[in-house]
Amino acid sequence: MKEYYILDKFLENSKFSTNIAVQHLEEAKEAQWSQIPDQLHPWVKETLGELGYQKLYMHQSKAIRHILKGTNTVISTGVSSGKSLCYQLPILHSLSYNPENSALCLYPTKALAQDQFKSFSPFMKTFSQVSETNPKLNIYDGDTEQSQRRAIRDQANVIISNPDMLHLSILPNHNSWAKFFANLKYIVIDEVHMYRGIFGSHFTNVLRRLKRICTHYGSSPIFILTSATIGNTQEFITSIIEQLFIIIDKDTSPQGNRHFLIYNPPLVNEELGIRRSALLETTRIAHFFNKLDVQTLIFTRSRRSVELIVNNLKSHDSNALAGYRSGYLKHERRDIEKQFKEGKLTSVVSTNALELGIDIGDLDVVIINGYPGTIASTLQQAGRTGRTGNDSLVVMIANSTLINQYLVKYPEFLFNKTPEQALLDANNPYILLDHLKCSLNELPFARSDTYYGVSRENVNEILDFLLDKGYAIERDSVIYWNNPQAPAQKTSLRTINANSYSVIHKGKNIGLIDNNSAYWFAHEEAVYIHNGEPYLVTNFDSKHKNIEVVSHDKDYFTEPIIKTDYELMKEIDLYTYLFGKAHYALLNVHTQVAGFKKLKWETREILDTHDLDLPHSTLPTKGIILTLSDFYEEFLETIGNSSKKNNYGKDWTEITKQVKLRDHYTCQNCGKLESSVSFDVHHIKPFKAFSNNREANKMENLITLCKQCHRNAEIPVKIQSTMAGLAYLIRNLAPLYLMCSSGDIQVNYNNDSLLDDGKGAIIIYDSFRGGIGLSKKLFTNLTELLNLCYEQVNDCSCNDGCPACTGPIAENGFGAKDSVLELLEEIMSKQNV
Amino acid sequence: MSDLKLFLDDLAEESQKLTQDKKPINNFISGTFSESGPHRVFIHERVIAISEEENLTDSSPQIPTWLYKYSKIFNFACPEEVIFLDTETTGLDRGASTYAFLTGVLYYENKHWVLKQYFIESPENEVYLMEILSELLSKFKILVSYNGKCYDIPLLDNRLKYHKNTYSIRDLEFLDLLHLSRRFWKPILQGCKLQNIETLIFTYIRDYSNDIPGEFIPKAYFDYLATGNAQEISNVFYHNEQDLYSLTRILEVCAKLSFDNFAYLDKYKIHYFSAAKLLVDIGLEDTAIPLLKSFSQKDTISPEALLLLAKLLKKNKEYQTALEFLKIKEASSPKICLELSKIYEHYVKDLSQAFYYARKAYLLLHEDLEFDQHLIAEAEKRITRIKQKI
Repeated sequence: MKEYYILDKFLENSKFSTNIAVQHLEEAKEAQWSQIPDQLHPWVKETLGELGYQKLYMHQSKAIRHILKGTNTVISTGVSSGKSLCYQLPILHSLSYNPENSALCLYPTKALAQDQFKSFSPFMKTFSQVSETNPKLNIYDGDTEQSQRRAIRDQANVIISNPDMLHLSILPNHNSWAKFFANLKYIVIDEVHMYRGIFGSHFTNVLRRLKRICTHYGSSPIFILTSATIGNTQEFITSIIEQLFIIIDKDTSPQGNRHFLIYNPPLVNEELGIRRSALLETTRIAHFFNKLDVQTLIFTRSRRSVELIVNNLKSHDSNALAGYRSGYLKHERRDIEKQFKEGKLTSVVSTNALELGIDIGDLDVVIINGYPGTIASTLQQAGRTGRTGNDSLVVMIANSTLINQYLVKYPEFLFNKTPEQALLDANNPYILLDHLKCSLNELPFARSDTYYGVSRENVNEILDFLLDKGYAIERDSVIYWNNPQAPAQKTSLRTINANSYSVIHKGKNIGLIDNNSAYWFAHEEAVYIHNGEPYLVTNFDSKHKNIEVVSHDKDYFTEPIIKTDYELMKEIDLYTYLFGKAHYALLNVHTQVAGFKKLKWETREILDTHDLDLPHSTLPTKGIILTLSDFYEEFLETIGNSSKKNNYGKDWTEITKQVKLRDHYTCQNCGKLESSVSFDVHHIKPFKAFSNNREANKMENLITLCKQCHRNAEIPVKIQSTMAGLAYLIRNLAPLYLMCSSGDIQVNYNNDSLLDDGKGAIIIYDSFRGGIGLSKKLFTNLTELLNLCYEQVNDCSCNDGCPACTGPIAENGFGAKDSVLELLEEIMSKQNV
Repeated sequence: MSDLKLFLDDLAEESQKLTQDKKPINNFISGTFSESGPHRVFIHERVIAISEEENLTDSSPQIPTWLYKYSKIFNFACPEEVIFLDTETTGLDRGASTYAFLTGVLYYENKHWVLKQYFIESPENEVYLMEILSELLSKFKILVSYNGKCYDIPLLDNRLKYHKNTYSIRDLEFLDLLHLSRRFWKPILQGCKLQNIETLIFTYIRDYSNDIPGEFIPKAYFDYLATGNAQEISNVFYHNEQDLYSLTRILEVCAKLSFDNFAYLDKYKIHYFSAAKLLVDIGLEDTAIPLLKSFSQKDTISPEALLLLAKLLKKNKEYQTALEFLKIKEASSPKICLELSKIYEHYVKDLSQAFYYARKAYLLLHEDLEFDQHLIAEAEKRITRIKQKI
């Protein structure tokens, strides 16, 4: 078979085979069949017969039987397991009884909607012939011609749309859809696992509005949801639809052999735990398959890395390839999808934009550059191969980060489907406020109205706020929207901050970049990369939201330097652990792009750094302030006393002499004079905070201290580096524990105390305005997380800390690994008593 | 204090509550309240004697017979069965939250115009307004509006349904003057906004100190709801009244369209060709012919107008007259030459003339490199065929 050939070719190549850390085979399995459910209307059965279906997978029949009984149903089975049929048949069934009945099918992206339209169409067509009726199946999204919209609305049976369209167009104009809503039998939500985090929090609120409107028109539709496998399906779906439901999760479809390799790039510096760049390895492997002319989809995490890989591949002699990510214009993306499907492109490098079910044909190989952040994503990306039940090959390239190295060591985490959780917080105050505005604009609110998962107290608080700000008026305990602005237009479902910048090259709009990313990646003088081409930002026009760029041919790219400050707004809750205290609080996180680094393309060598004076942005959110108890702070002072010295350079002896001379051989803290025991020279700003000896050893950074005072001065540094090392561990393991994307939660050590006790603290906060419940979930479960941290450091073979445990040495200093390990050991031993 | 409240307090919102003294609508506009249970509607009513109000046409609303045909209204309606309607709403789109807070109507009764304006002081009274409107509208057969087919009527229809009122506004016949206005003035007006027609065609100037631009109307109402001060709302009443008067003016132009004296065209800046086409569409071909003839000697006459005239004359079997008129522009228009060739060939049976004009069309077409390939093919076909006949 072709796939075996490809696998063998790959394994034959010793450059690659020696680095394969994990070779996992998901064995082929047989289908389990069942009869077509009797309950289905004869027309539907005939339709199935006409299309060649004699039987269904067992999970399909089971789901359909539940749906026909009127139960909200979630189908959570694998990629290509025939989930669509589970809602298509009940919809046809309902149309058999009443040609006026309607259904709303929501897909997270327009591309997916197009794809599903194609898959539903043959059923509709055959059903029409069989039933001699004329049910309508239409896409209604931003691309639907204005001239067609009215006809579609008036005759709608099955509407295929997306949450944004529902939010922006359908709900605010529900009056034009009165008949559709009054007859609405099913709400289908495809790929529901996509609606986590911000998008999910928004989406839940869109559904609340939808349900309110259905109630107004007297319908109570049944929910049919499809989902990838997630760990907390019950909790997650409950928070999305806020109703009872049943889950069908036993996948009875067949599957071909899937070879899943984890490739661990070789160590280039064993002591420092530094591996060869995953990005370069990905490029090499991608190039290998490209030369073999094997269609390969390469997933990578950031938009930036898409461009870097494309750039690298293009510089080699490669078969046709392209990048694919958000920010490209729509027609560009459709074009790439089409060309890939037609086999005109050999390799496509994509962000997770191509992860969902868009039909790009059956691929031979998927390469995943770095763990995508969640198991669901990994499985979805891997699932792009072998969609027809053939054997397939997936290569995931581990990078040096902790989470990747963890998976190399414990691949069962990935393959045994350890519970993975999707979280959202539909009651995030900003999101809730925005959608209550929209909902109020759609239908007036009585004071006595309930609003799904929101307490009446909170609903009334928001209504009072809207009244107070002049957005609404109240008459006889009914609140009416009272503002000429349509609130939906001002609310984007994808972010909590709607606006975006246009990137302008030679007067032409070449792409979009959202507000926050704009400051980070497209500030003046930044090298902004679009479609593999680097551009230099020449003008950042925040007033008109334009970023002007010119072509960039220099040998460097840029990275922003971000400065962060924290402000404690209000403590919400306190949890006392044996090792310290966790304060759960409202925080304001102020960030500022303080400057940027210019780095050389190949080596990432820092060429230059520049300061920038950009406005800071404030993120109001919820988070944890974690401090150690006095006992552990004291414990930290006693451990691992300078077992390893920094190398201060060959001139150090000479320099200390000069410093002591300048300070008159006197301790600059207690005033003691040096006698038999020689005094130390101390770096005021720690040595490792500098990139070279010369800067660190400048006279003004050095001071003479007696042994006692020096120890006291070093202790905070040690606490700092230990805590920073611990923060590094938590930052990397928390996403694994919470099953969120790594950018969703931030963990940093902050030395300036936010609390009265004067202690520095590890700050863990949600990256979204108002929070989405991530840090809240950690708040009382930190011990479990620390246990994971302990295992990770303890198992790590490096000497002094590496990217896979307490962080690169350059970041957190010598000794951080030992002190973190000792601290965690101590904490764990106390916990276990 | 809940967490939510804390976040809300921290929000820097642009919008701020307005504070102004409360001044109800009857401080500014005379009228009465009609009450039903907890709801009430404010009604301003005036009877306007003919020629008392110079803005108004000095006759009853003349709906010429042809107009009934144009608007697919076949039953004769007496003037008393016609109602003019215009709404002022809370939004410019037709979103679900948009409703009409002021509905003005004008109708003809006992040889007088009656103006009625219905205003709701807040949204909860809309349900009662719908009752009043449904009762009123059910007395009429024809509803005249400006863009009503796309805006006012669907809006009222939706709102009636929203309040579960069973009256069906769709049972009325509709005459939408926007469609007619477009036929008259689209070439000279950028977008047929009612106020443009008013100032540019009827050269009527509103009292702007009493008016309010249409796009500010929703905000004026929202502000009123927030403050209870109806000062600006009185301008909306004026605006609504003026719009209704303009509807009667347009209808008057329509009534004059069938006059044989074409002076009205100049007066109302109606292009003769638009008028001729409209006359043809409504079956008044005998009025269209003299109209086109009267413009045929002017340099500005277009080949299209001559072709239309020729078509009408051909229908009347006046072939020689048709030829005469077409020859006015034979030097410059290949289409006219082709038409001449056709008439010579099929009606006058003069093949050499038919050949001459087919060739002339062909040559003219070749002078213009970008000319329609389709026409060239037609000319070639014609030439070949006539040659064979000769």
